[in-house]
Amino acid sequence: MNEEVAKVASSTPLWIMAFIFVGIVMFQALVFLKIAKKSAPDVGMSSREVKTAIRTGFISSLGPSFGIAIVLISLIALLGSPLTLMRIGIIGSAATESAAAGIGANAFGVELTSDDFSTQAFTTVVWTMCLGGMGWLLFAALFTKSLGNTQKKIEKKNPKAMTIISSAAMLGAFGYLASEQMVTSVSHTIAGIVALFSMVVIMIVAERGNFSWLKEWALGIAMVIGMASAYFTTLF
Amino acid sequence: MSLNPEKVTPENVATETTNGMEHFHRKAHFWGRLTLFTLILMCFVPPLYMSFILDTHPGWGPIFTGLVGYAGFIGIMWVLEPITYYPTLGIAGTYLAFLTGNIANMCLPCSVSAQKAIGAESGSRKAEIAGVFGIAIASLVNIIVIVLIILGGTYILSIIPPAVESSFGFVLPAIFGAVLGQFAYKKPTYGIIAVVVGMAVLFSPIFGLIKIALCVALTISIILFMEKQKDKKANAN
Repeated sequence: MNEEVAKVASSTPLWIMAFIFVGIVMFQALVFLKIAKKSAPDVGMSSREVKTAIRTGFISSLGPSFGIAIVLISLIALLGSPLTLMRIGIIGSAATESAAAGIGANAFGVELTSDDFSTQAFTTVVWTMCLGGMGWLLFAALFTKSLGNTQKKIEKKNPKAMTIISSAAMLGAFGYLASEQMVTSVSHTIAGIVALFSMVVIMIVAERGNFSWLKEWALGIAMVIGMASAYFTTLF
Repeated sequence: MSLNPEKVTPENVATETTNGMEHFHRKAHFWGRLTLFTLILMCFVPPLYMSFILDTHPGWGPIFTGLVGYAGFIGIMWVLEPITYYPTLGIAGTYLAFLTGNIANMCLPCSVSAQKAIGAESGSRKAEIAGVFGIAIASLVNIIVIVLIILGGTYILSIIPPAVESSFGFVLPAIFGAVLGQFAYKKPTYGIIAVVVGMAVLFSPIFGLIKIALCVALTISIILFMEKQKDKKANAN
């Protein structure tokens, strides 16, 4: 971006707004932790299980977070730090966000990376990303209640159905996502398959040997083994 | 803290557990909506500031074009994604995941890991609460990592060995494969079905964005059908 845009894109007011965005997300996470902690005894969760769930969430999120952060760096060059923080801290993947930025720039009639990318073009990008990203927020805010009511209806009819639907939905989503990734390249295929089998082995060992701590680390370990194996295949 | 202080009425003395969960859902809806709407309002601040305080308004034409372009590119996901992921996220999980983003590559894997670590059956109440812990913590960790990288970006990147950085090129297939493994180790048949359906849908000539929703719908139908058959067999014996 040219100097004028870069100056605006990393100006103090935008930084302040970005941190308000981040603050809202953090506030929500903390509130939900609090109400989940309160309700844990009602669903038969011991305080040890609460600690385990929290620890597992922490360990499991480190890998994915770094993956997200590395992709983020490419966006900073295009949009400046505050806007990147605003967008990615909230919703959407880096790929979606770059595409959205491109669409916004084109709407003003310039390319994102060109020298003609003016402050006005940048403003168009801000409008496009901020209002476009609101779609998910609006739908989730308005319709989660209806989805919850649908779930209640299903549970009334057949109490067992929801547990089946829940794991089947998960399998379906990840069956698709894994397939989509694995057809990208041979190394991607290896990453997916090795991670899958590592996970199966880790879970079986954890069950047989009663190593509950191993389950907390399962996602992290399987992910690293998968990524490392794929990386080694690129060396030959 | 919340607007509905616990009133001791005759009705919530009776069934302790369902009421506890009802109470949790009420609170989740309240705080979930409040935080989402706050953020929605906040979404107007940066563009309005840019346009009218910095006076760099590009005109409504380009803005409209940009939004129409955005909606055409991914607008269908506004509706499809929350529905697709709801059965696995639950009420509170949906509010959390759609505010923090990165649902497939972070929220869901952390939610499932937390559920599996305490041995909760997916879809159960216990799993729902465990999932909330997983996602809420992931959301916080993600923000902290992102803020650190943004504030110290170039320096942090310069100390990461290149091998590690290239390995992260494979972060997505590794995460997705691992999550699949978490489900497949108990029921390998279903794992295979999911991958077969996934591949079939992936290579079918349909509109790309609806593929994942279609895959979820198909897998649910197939597995529900198989479970029904199993029940029938069990009843017949």
